Amino acid sequence: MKKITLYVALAALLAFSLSLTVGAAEKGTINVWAFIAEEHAGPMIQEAARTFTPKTGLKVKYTALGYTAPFNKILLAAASGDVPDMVFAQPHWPMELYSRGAVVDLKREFGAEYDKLVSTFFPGSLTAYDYVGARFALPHNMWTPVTFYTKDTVDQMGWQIPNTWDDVRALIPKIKGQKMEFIYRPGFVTSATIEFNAAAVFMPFLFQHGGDFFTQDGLKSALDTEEAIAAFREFTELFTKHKVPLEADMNAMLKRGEMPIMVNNDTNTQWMRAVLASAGRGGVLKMAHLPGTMRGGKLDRAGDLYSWSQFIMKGAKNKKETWEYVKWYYSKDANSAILKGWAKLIPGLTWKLAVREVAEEFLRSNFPDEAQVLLDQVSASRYIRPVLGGFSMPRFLTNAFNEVTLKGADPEEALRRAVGEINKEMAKKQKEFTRFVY
Amino acid sequence: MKRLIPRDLTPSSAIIFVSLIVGSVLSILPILYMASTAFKPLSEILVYPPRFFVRQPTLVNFTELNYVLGKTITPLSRYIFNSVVVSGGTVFVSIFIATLAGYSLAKRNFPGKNLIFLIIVSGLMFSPHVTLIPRYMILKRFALLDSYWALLLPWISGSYGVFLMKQFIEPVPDELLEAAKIDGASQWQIFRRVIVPLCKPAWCTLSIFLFMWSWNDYLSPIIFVKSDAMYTLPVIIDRVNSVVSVDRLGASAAGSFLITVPVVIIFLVFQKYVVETMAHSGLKG
Amino acid sequence: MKSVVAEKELSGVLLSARRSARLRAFKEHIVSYLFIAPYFSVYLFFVVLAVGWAIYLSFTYYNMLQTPTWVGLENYIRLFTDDPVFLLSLKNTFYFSIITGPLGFFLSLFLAWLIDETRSLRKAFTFAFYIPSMTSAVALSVVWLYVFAADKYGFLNYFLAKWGIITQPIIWLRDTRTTLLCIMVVSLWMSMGVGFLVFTAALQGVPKELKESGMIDGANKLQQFIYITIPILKPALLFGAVMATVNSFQIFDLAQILAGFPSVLYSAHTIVAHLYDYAFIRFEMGYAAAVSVLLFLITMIISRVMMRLLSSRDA
Repeated sequence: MKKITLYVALAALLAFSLSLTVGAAEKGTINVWAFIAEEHAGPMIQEAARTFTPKTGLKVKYTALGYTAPFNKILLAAASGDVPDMVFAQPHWPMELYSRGAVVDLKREFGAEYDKLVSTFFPGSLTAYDYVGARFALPHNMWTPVTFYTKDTVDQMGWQIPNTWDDVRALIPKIKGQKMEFIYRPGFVTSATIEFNAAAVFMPFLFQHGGDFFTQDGLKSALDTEEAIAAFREFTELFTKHKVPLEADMNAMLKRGEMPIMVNNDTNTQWMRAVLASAGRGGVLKMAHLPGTMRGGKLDRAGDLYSWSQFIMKGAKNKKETWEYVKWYYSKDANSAILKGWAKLIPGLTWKLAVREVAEEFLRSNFPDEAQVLLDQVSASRYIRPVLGGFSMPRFLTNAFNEVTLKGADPEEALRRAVGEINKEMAKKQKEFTRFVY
Repeated sequence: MKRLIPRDLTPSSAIIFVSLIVGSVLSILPILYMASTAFKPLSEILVYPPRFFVRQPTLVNFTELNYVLGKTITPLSRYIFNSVVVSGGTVFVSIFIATLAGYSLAKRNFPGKNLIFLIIVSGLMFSPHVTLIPRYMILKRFALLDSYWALLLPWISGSYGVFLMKQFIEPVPDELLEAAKIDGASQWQIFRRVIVPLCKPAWCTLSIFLFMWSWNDYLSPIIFVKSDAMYTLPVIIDRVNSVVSVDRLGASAAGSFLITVPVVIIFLVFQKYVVETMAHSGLKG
Repeated sequence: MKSVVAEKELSGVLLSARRSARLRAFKEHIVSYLFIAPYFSVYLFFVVLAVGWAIYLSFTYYNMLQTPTWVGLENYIRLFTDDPVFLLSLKNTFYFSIITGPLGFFLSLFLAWLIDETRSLRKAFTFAFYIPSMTSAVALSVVWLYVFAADKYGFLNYFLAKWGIITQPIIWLRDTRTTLLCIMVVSLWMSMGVGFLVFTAALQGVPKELKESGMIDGANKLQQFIYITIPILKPALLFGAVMATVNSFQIFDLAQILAGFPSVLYSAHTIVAHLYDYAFIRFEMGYAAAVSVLLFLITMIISRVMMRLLSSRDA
């Protein structure tokens, strides 16, 4: 008897659930999907309610999906037509959507207003969303590598903070002599994420030599130029010739004091300080510029600039309203307020949003020591340009890197092999697009 | 209360016993790590090499988790309700329809039986990555997206239930069924009186893993659900994780721990019927 | 005359007997179908339809954002003539499955049997061995990533260096020689899952008397197991075998967590990894569907072989 009542109850529940419907998109409401932790959507929600909605009468509805939600979600939404108006996500997503016609080309759509908006941004921040003149996304929070050092150790040893990579190479034997190590971007060898792999950490070398990943027209890989090969050689020799460890655990080494100087993403500042604090040396962590390369008489400190992206979906129902939202979002006051909200949530994180003034003001007031370094680095850095078949580049570059460092292959040969593969994949994608997509 | 060390201990059974103990310890180590991490303060979580036991246990991760979850748009109770409905519904409905179908496939002969069985089992072999999109389209077509159906169908339509029931019902001696038939029982009565009582071990096994799979399911909710109110716990716990900083590592660990607790409880509750010898195996004459 | 009438009557009786027999059989069949109907209708709706659609997609070019374009057999031809990575993934997957499939299967069976033979702490042992599959692979990956960590403080590296077996830390998860092995080890460790539980449950159904009669005949425990228990366990064994096959050929999530995606020089690239690559990185869903159809056929063939071997009915 009990079982039957259970079944009946279940059937009733299921029947009821069938009647649940989705709330339709109301006119005048902007739907934003943010692939971030739910908590982090808080400042945006609050600020929108405070200044955007009263001013324009438009409501904004945020849906937080978590940082690790799969790309499929947006893909299926685009395929079925149930798209949000605006999406806040990882940098490599919008290109895939844009090249298949699912994302709005902001420059074409909003012309002069777009130009006015991005004039307030850091120049390098837009490279990731610039495809043959089309601009399809806007940058957000950015990360860039810097040099970290523990002041007490460095002062004690009387070392100079390296200005160029030559300085680094001269310093390494001295560091090793003290049973310590110079670490370069730990974790990238075994990183399983797209944003932190051999291609990403190769950028400082590539850009500083004047090279680039792809040709101007975005049709072929430019990694077989002299500059690129020289850069790759320098990069791999750090590990093969100068024996910089390929893998290091920051926790242990920081605590043991084995990591006096290192190059790392600035987002790690907060927890590196925490680790050091647990070993009683909280205040010793200092930041310096990324080592540069002399080129044409100037010191080039370019690095990689990874940033989250915001883009408008083509199927959005409220495009004009969404653009108002975008303009508001990147306006100095709103941007600043949201940034402050985030800083309160995650104190100690060196946030850098795209709008120059906002970033400057925030950094100078919260991180006075590091502000100049970070601003310089962000101004000098940029990211990988989007191209068709761009997924292949990090993949084969990582293969080449592994071949050189793990199997002792020759850097130039390995890189040329990689370029061959990359060009093959890019050609395949271009053919596919001319045949099926366009 | 059984004695821990049986009276007639032989060398071989002693070796076996010790190896089992060693194997068990190795087996639970990673879970021990996960459980203890939930109780570690942040400084201990960041320690490397990772420690299996917590030195200064604290509940701060749980309070932090509670704080983070308290700020969700939809109340947490709704998410818990959703998970319970999905997992409970999966277990009950699956067991019900799987036993019916399994009985028919095991004990009854009818045209197309082998073909139908083959079709059912072959459903396991098609990679879910590829069927994800067709399923999405099917659900959309029938306006089932964003409903409990979208969360239940992936599990109710699974082949494991039927497959398992068929394999468990098959060894039941045909004589029992014949006897009931001779006694004049109807089809349904034969099913209910002969087959059903023998299904307990199978049902308990099914309950354990069907509950587990549907409870831990992250993909179906994230893909098939649009409104926040229909998400289940795995999605919510994942949303706690702040990838850009180490801030919520502890809360995430606490969340992962808590979400495993019901699965463990279900296992412990149903394990009885799976591990202990039944008084009546039903296979006697 | 009488005989003709009698014959006619007799044949009439036989005819109606046969008819009523057929009617009864028909009614029986209807009942059989009715029993299956609830499950099968859900299955048809949500599985057969989806799989059919996917098979259709395998003959198209489909990037998920535009309507599929028919290309016929092009995907399949490309798979075998222009895709060395696919062939590599075939090799990797077979290598992986041939070892972990049977090994995991026998390990589960053996453990379930050992625990069954033990008289105390049975529930504790079952719990301990089943626990890995209760938690998500992601949660446990932290520990495994530490065991196989590439720096000198990683668990394996540390002890191997201490005992003087290696001088340089091995990059377990990125060195093409060791990647697949590491994945195999972790996979085996996690394989005490549903199969193990099913064997445990099935072992409860083996009547004690049979085992005891075996002992009286002088057989030791192992012989008992092989000659008495296993034949009775055949249905459960088939279930476990199919599960082991399906799971070992579909290995991907674990490989991705441990070895990254894509793995270095495709050393841990499995069939499903290839499928995933084409579906969600290159957005060529049609091609990925073709890969999944091939995987389906492979799994199906092997499962059919198992069914032949482990069928408990003499067909």
